[in-house]
Amino acid sequence: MGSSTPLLAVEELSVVFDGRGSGEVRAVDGVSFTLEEGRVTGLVGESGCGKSVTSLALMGLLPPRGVRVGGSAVLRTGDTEADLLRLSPKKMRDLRGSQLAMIFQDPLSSLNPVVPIGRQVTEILTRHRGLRGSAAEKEAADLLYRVGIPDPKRRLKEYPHQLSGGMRQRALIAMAVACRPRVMIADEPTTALDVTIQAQILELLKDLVTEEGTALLMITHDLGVVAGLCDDINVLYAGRAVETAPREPLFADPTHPYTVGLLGSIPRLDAPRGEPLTPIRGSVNDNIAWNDGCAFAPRCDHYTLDCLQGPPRLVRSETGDAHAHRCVNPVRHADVVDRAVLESPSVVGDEEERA
Amino acid sequence: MPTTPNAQNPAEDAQDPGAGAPEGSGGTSLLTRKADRIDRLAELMGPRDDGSGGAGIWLTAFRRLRRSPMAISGAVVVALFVLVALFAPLIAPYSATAQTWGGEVFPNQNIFVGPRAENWLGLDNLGRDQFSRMVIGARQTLLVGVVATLVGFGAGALLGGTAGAAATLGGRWGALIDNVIMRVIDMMLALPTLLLAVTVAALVGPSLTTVMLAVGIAQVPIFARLLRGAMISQGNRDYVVAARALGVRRHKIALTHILPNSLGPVIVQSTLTLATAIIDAAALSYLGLGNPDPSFPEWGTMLADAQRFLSSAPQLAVYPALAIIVTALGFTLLGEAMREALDPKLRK
Amino acid sequence: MSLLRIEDLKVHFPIRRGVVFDRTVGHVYAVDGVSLSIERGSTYGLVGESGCGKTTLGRAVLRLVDITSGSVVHDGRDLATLGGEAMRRERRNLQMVFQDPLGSLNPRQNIGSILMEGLETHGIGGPSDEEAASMGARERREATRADRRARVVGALERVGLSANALDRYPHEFSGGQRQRIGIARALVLEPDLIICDEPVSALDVSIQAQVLNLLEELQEELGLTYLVIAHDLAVVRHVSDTVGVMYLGALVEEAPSDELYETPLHPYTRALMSAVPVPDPTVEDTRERILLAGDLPSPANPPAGCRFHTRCPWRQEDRCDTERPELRPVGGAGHRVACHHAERILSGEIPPSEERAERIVHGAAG
Repeated sequence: MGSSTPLLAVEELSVVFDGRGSGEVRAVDGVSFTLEEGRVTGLVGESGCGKSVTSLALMGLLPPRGVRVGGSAVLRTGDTEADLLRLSPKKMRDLRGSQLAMIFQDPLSSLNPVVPIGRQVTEILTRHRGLRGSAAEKEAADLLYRVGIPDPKRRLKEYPHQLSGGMRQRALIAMAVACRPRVMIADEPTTALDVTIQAQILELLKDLVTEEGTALLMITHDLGVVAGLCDDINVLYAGRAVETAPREPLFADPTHPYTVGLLGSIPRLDAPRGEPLTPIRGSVNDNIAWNDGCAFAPRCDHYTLDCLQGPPRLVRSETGDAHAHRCVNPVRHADVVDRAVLESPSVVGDEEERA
Repeated sequence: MPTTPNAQNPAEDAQDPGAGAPEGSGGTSLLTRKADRIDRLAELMGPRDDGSGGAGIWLTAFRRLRRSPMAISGAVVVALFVLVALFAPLIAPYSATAQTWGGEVFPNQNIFVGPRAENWLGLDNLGRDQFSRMVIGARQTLLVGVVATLVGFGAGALLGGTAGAAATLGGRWGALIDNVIMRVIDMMLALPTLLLAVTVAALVGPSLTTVMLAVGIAQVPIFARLLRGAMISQGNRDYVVAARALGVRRHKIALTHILPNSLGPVIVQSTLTLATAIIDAAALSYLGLGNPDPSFPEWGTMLADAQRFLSSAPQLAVYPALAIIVTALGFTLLGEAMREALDPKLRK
Repeated sequence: MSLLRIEDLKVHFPIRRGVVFDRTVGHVYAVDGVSLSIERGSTYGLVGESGCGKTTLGRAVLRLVDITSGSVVHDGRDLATLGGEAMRRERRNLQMVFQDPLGSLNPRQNIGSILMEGLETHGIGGPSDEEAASMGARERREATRADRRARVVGALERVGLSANALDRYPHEFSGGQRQRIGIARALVLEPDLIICDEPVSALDVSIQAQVLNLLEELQEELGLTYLVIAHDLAVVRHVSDTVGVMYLGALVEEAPSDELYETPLHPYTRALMSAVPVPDPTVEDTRERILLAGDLPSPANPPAGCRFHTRCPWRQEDRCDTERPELRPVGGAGHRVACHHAERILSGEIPPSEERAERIVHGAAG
């Protein structure tokens, strides 16, 4: 994390849903990260880890009732600072689209089906940049061309259903970048797309970040996508970040058992055939409350009694300043290199003793 | 099954107890600590309802209904109505037909008797006890509503079910059968409900059976379309493909897989139809197509009869009208609550 | 002899319009001439993007969609010509595992009845004939029920669930458990071939590995044969002995798993492979990336000649847009490819055209 002041600093963000009858649900529970100019920050995790709720909270898109949002998310633009979580709905609306933009997973349902693409793009240009008539239309065509939509003049007149999935996602990105936002949030932008189209979209996002200096928050479940795109990565589990690191150390020396487990669960294209996968047992529903101990303990191969004594803190790892994990009994590099060691009983005993 | 901690760490069970524990008699302390942490984990994960399951969709829906105020108020109204209708002869204090107080009411002189100690809702234009007539009338109304709904449901489900099953599983011929049935249904749908009912009633002559049939037939296209639509959408689901892949016979797939999963909306619709059927039946009775026999009071007929005295004795119209409105509302509330409870999108 | 042999299989869906009587106005060429064979005990992986016809192919093998022409020979019998009832009986030998574990289980059936259904349909289970002869009707029913229950519990235990799942309903389970139930439903009939249609793509990453490992274990224990259909090349390569790559209704390349990874011959395979993200930053930063331009053409109106020529960076002026390439052996070791210029592309004689690909990011330069 560089020395420059971050564009968006999220501190201790928490989102609590008041469940009717069944008690409250802490969907996000103290997540902190920063977005910096020209960098991509990734939030990675499985279903229910709170990654999508985080993005909705930042965009002010959570339902107004039954939700409590805590912490702060300070957006610095020029000399002004604004806490996204405390802005009035009107100010938030002005920010969305101009300074902040979001790209959703399902492009079809995020586009209005009965309005041509062109009108949807020019609407934004009119609202936030005051462009009108042919100027807006020309700018819209430019935008579509910039995101790689061939023959943009014709496409402007088409309706969302006439475009393919990849084209729709491009159109959505065009709308997101229409006002040169400083911060962009992409929530699983490629999950609904085929791999060859995914590669196109990722390349496009990469270009936007390097050329325009936009700060991108990339939310995904796919570690492969993260490895290619993100500079800083936060791995989320059950609403908290369990490991945060720049991408090289994260993939080279993962320290949290969950990260190690995720990496071991993915069949790699470049791995020799027959290399066994080492899955994480159980499912994401098998967890305990963070206040009682590590939520991952029920699925962890080497949890100790210490893991169950109150919430684990985010501590700095041995591999570097920016690398931190929320684990009292982290995996050390040697273990990952020789995975077999992890499963061998004597090592587990060793850990036990240390704890 | 939910992960139970002890079954999950086979490595630890095989562990060598003497693997160098810190304290002197390390082996045992290590083992106790291992047991401790497993116990602690099990404790923190809380009780897991193992084997207590078996909650089907209907049971979960029922649990949800119990928490919904809309469902409760609807159910109370409906239950009250059904109880009154069932035990009408026991509840009604007087005969509904005898003109016991005929000497006290003179409609042509605008002399009516309002509520009093012996006649809670007063007397009608012929000197009969209005309360008894309302109670007995509930019975007729319920009969009309239920029979009409059953007619609509039965015929509609048969047509819609055949069309739906043919369309999903019948291949080319099935598509043809479906097409023919649905075009007939479309034609029925094109006629306004009440007009259809009036036509039937006019053809057969006024009687209670006519009203029930007429109202029932008017509901057929709604049920048919609903069931067919639900069946076709269910028919494209993976579990139907899975059943076909298992080699289950087609008629069995239609009856045991597609139909039960499609019935939800149809059952909800039938509660809503009960409400409309009561109103439609009242309307037909009001138009003079209902049961002409005065010995069977019916809310719609009562409303029609009271019309003549609207200016002098509005209460005679208000009672049956209110009863119809409240009952219809009760069924509608219950139906809407059921629709919500069964909605898969709202289910966890 | 191979367990399953598909020859020149075509599945064309008519596009119909009309009010009462439908007219056919065109066809969707979902599967358009596919030939492949699967050896007993091996895994054949079919990979391709959405709309390439891989799911239709899987369903055509089970005759869940109507076959337009071609043959599907299973264990010496041509399934394409079997009558309805004979095909229904044959399905006990060919089972399927679906993508959406919740959608493929009837929400109103409990697990016991879901698993029992196949046994009842095919009359599997129960006392042997000589045993049955000595029993009364009631006794026989009891024995049958007990035997079927034992088989169902056996299948459940094989997939890592216990017998107390029997009385519960699908929505009470997590995604991974539901997929295990789906696998148990297929297993209980003791089929020799299981078609897995996107068996893990609806599951969380950590659960995917559990299911993939389970499939592998079952294959080792029971000697199953799999046809695995998936869009994820990494998954397919991990589980398969042989991989077939589909594009727009046809196989463009087929090779043993490792061979395909080492030397992909077809331009589409190369593009696909370069697009699969690898969870390793160093690999991601340095490898060659071929970004295809444009989208998949409509299968209702496929391009003439080579189906891929509209997006192919290696496209040549001759033959590509006029003559449809056959799947032909190239090199050794069972490598087949449908490309006129495969050898010249491999040797580097034909360079990729930068204009055609949206962009080609070369190794370290990227």
